[in-house]
Amino acid sequence: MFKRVLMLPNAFGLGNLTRRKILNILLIGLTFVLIQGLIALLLNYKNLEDWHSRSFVLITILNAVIVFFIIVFISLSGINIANQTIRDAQRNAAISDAILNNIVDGVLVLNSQGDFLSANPALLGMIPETDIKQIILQPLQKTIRWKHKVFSVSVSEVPEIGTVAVFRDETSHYEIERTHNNLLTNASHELRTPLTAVMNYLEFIQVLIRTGKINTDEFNEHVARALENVKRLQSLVNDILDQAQIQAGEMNLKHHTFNLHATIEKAHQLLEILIKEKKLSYELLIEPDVPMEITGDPNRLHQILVNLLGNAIKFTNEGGIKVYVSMVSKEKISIQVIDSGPGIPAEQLPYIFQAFKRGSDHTQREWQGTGLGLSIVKELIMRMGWEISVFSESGNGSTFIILLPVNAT
Amino acid sequence: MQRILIIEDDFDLATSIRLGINLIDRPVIKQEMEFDGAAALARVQVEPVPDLILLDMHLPNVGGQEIYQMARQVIPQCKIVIMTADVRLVKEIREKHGDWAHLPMPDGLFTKPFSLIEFREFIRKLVND
Repeated sequence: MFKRVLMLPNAFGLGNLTRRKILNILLIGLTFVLIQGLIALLLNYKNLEDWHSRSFVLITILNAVIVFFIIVFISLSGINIANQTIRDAQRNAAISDAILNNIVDGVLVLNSQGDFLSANPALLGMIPETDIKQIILQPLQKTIRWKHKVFSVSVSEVPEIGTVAVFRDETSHYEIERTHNNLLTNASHELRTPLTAVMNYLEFIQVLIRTGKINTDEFNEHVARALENVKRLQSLVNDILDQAQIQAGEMNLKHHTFNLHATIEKAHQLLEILIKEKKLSYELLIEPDVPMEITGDPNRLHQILVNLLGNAIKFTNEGGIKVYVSMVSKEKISIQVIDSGPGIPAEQLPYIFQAFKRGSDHTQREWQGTGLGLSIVKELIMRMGWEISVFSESGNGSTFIILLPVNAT
Repeated sequence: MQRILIIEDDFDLATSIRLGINLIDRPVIKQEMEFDGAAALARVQVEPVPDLILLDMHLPNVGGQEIYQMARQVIPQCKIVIMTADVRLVKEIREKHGDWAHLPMPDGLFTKPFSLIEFREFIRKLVND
């Protein structure tokens, strides 16, 4: 109550604690002046009429007042410095907290015995505290693999605290690197087989020439085989370059109004000779409500259709291929490429859009690969915001469905 | 007579290897080709057994490693030459890592692409041994 009554007014933005300290100093100082004055008066009260005595009392009181102001000044300066130091420390702590709470890297603090002290929200978001406590049972390594994640860890010893470890989630980098390595290894594997065939046929022709065993028909046959494999190589190289271009984001989409019916027919015409060679049937059915003209990138649609039709022809030996175009809503068109081929086993369906995807047994080729074709189709579809799905079962053919908007933006 | 079994799923490559082996100046060599892993696995277990197997590793349905292990088990006298485009696998075999740590080494190991002339020469020495 007393303190509340005597509290200094809330001015200059000073806190309660500071005002209380200033009040205490003022009270102590005033008490000091009063005591000095009283002592001077007590010592000289008999001689107050004396000019010297009065002067002595006044000088003493004046001294006390000066000392009082010096004490107040020094105390206030000290308080000010202390307050500034506290404010600086609080500000630094707030900055540190803000950094720790907002950085994407995880920060772990252990005491000098290696026990868990604290972890920032990023680390707790990446690894639950119970698992962190499991991880720290072992000495911290530069790379830590936990479940499906990979972290690079930088460890620093901090005096009087213990250890500070910074965890950086490198999972996506490792995944990209692994995918690129796999793509490179698999692409290299796919290129080596036709390359061996080309080399072998050419060397064989060379042997025939050297030994004078030249037979025109046989010669033609070997040259044709070599050329066929060169075309396989060319197609693979083109696919690899396309894939690299798409993944590097260097593919430019050119949206404009184009004739959908003509684009589908153009893809058919390109592959018609292969359909005839395999004696397959081809049927195109476009529902009447499908608009003739739509907006989008006709070149990419052509590329996708050629890939899907090419696969359908490649894998179908009896029956034929049907392309069915219909509206699934006012704004969305469905293009179905249906074949009567051998179908895709259920266990392979989830992987067919992956580049050179193979099964878990790395010495087993799961099926005659489509190389990069379907992977490129998937990439193109994703870049354009379209959708693709596949329905298939062993022995009952396959249906690839593309959903695209009437007006692409 | 030497009986050679070519197990390779690429028809053109298998044919070119067969043509190359035909050039070997040895009177009786009988060649067979298998293009499917499952068929090849069945073939190595029946008479007449091959004297030499030229084995690709990435095959449809059954992998080359399974065929290799079966062949080593049922016809240990048969020589086996592995021909593969998988450089990781070649490294694994050479350094006896992974699955190959406990498997016997093949009699020959060729990384695709390889020269038909060199391959034929290697096969010639092998069948003449």
